[in-house]
Amino acid sequence: MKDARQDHRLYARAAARFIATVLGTVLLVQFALSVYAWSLADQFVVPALQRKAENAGVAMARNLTRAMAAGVPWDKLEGVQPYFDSVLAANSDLAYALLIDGQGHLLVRAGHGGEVVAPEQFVSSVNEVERRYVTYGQVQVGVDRRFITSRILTIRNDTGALFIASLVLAFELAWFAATLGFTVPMRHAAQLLGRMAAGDYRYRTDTGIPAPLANGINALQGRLNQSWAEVTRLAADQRRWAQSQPILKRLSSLYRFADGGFAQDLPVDRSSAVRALCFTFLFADALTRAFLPEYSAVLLASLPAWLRTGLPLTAGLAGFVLALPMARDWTRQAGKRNAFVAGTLIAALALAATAYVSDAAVLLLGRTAAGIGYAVMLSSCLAATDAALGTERRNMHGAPAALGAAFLVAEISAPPLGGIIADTIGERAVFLTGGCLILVSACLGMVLLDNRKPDPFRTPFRALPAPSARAAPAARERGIQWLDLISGSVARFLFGGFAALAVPLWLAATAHSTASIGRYQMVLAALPLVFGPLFTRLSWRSDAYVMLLVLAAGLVGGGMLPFFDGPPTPGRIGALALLGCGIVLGLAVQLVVVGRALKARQLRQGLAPVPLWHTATQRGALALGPLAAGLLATWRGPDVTLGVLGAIFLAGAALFGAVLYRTGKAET
Amino acid sequence: MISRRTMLAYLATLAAPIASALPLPGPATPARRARIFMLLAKAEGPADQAFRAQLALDGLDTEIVPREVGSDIVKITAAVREARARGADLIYASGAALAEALAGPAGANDPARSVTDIPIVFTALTLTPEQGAALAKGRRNVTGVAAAIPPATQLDAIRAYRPFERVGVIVNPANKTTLATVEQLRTAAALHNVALIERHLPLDPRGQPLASALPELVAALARQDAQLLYVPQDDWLATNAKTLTDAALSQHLPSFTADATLLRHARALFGLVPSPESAGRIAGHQAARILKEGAAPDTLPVQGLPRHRCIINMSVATALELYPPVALLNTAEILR
Repeated sequence: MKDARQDHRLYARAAARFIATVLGTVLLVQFALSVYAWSLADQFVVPALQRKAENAGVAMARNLTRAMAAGVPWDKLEGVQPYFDSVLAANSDLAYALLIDGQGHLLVRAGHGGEVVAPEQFVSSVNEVERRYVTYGQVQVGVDRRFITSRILTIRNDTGALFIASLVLAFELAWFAATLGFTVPMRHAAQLLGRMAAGDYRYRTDTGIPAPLANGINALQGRLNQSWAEVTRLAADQRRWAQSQPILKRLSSLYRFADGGFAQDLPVDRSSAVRALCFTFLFADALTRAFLPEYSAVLLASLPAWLRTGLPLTAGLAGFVLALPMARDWTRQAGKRNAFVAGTLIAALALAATAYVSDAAVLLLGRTAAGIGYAVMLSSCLAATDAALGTERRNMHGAPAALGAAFLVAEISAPPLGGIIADTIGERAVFLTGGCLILVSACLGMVLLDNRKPDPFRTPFRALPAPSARAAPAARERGIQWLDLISGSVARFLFGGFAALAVPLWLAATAHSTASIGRYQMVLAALPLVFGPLFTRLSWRSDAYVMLLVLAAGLVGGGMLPFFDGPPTPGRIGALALLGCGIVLGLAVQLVVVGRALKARQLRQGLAPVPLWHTATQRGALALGPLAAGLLATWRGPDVTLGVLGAIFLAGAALFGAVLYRTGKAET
Repeated sequence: MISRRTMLAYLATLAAPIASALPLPGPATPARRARIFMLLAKAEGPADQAFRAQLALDGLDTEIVPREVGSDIVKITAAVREARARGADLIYASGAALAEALAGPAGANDPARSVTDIPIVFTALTLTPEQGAALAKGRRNVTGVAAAIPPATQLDAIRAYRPFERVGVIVNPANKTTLATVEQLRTAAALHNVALIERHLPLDPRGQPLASALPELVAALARQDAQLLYVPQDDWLATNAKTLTDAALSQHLPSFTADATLLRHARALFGLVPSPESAGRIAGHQAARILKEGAAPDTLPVQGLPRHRCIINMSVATALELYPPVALLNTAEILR
């Protein structure tokens, strides 16, 4: 604890200040730009729409005048109603168009007629139909003030979403730069200095870090080991044997030296590199989160309805989970960098194909290939962290935690950006953007990864030497495995079924645009980012598992009830947030319980292998989640699907609680 | 030690192949002007003039030899013989009849009955793109522009004016192209839910249609509640256009046509007509590509026109009190 506090003073505080400064600057600039864009809406949008109404009115009046000039009498003008209707259909921002004769009688009305009930809600332009100095009538074109307000609100919402998304992205970039350039080398050097302070001079820092401090420490370690070798050589002299042996024994008991140069390298914690590399493909994939189920339903119209929304998601996740074991072996043979670049190329090509060809088969194949590419990329990233995982026990959970953080940041920032691109350019452009981002990550991987094979690829199942020979009872062991299985399966099933499919489907039924779906998803993903660590810390520190689990069940129960009652309404977004929060809280508690039990077991008897069927069940739950939710959504609608998924969570939580109770009893 | 003279000799030896590869200025050889035989059914029209103009625009130095051959097979054969004798690089055929005469009967690719050794580019204002493609199919030396507007597009234009539901048509049974057009019109009318009322022109003992029967046929259509008279592209009908459209007007029956002649020189109400200038320009560009770039004619597909001209005869509209809708007036050409 004391070491950690000193480390914190040495580098973590400085890194935090640096990130805070960068983010503060970015925040200030972003805020200023957002306020400026916000104010532009008032300055430009309202007058622009008014001008448009005037221009449309002028053009329509001119066409009527032209018809009269061609020889059509005023009272014989033909096709004015369909003409006005077509103008309004082509310009959704125009609310109505009227043709009024010289006596003020209404001849033609196009639009919904809202201006009759509430004329103050409309901005109108009046244009006279005049020929040869005779005014025959007038064309009135109106714009709905509420439309203007709604457009401005949309622009402001988009600006706000972009502001938050770019802030989160800036945080991710700043964190990556500070961690990789400062925190990791400093932490590494501090570890080495800590070992030296404890009298252990056998290590040197990994040569992969080109830091002057690390080089200096390496040189110092080298000189100390050489001096020790010189001392032992001199002590071996017969004349000094008697005097030197006690001193050497004493030094050997106090200090540990390498006999020739260095005993081994101290590997670098690569979890930050994993986070940066994984973030790019997670971000690229999450860009399509807001519209993929709806987009799939349109493209797969020839398939049965229950397959349309979930099948592409299932294809992608199945490609991922099935390719993962093979990708591990392949990464070991090909090297981390080669494997990563190959994975990026597979994923980028798949996304580009999905972007260029609007076809059901290409969509399914593209999703599957992208899943395979992600699996290869993830395997190579995890291989890069393997050395740290094997030797530094305290980094044991570093890589998964970094991956989880990258996942949440991507889920917050990508959907609104993807939604805005989909609304402004098109869905296919989103796939293309994802492909380009993955190519960028290929460049990053070329820099951060290498093909060295100093360490054999280690799986987490490899048993470590047991510090304590005391083994747990078989019943408790089985209980831990069941807890792991239940929590992992439910969490994976709900990611595929709830977050990736049911939520976008439900939002699509209530929201007006893809961008607004993305904004809601951003808010829903931000809640776990805010509350997830809080819940995890609470349950980790206070041992209040049962209380928190009951709280989660209460939240989910309260959140799911409105979804069983009638068609979707925007007001239920609060219930959805409650449901999401409850699920996150419950899963966080369960995963903490399981993590704690696994850690305790590891300290007692080392890592134990996970049964194959447990892994298969958890991965199957991930892949089949979207398909099951899609089936349910077709059968009973997205509302009921959300409710049923909440019920599935509750059932899983109840089962988890029961197994936890039995496991606790078995221990006592 | 290499002497200065030996060094220069080596350099000259090395430089020789490089110098031979460089394009050095030499005596200029005059480029041969491309010779085009322009076969015309009648005097040069707007399409033929646009063909000439496009060749000049594409920077092609050409010698154009015009030959007015009508539909006389003897004159056509003589013109082809002359073209071969004078080493023509391309034959331009103005009109569907000439194009068919040069290309030979459908399915045949016999050098004795058709021109197969000289590239042929045609403009045909009476052939639809499908008919034009069928003409060039299997013939490696034929391409061109088939500018006639498909009947389905014509029906769209008709219904843009008014939602006519009963359309009458006078069919010239002596003209195979007209019969084919009416056949296509039947299919399109069925798709558009338009009832097509047909009246066939009686033929005299020589097989020619009787012009005197036109007023009675139009009156019969009016009695059958036809709301519009559709006049297909047909040379005989164009010749008798005034009689036909006057008869229609006397029955208070508006008439639609795909032939500009009926609008400009007779009293048809409105029509959707191909632009001969556009057809000539596209054909000229095809000829330039064949002569300048060496493109094979069969690699250049027979083209239709991307857009057509809607012409409205306002004097007829006023007489019928059937004024065009405002939206159509935005794009139409008005004849007063």
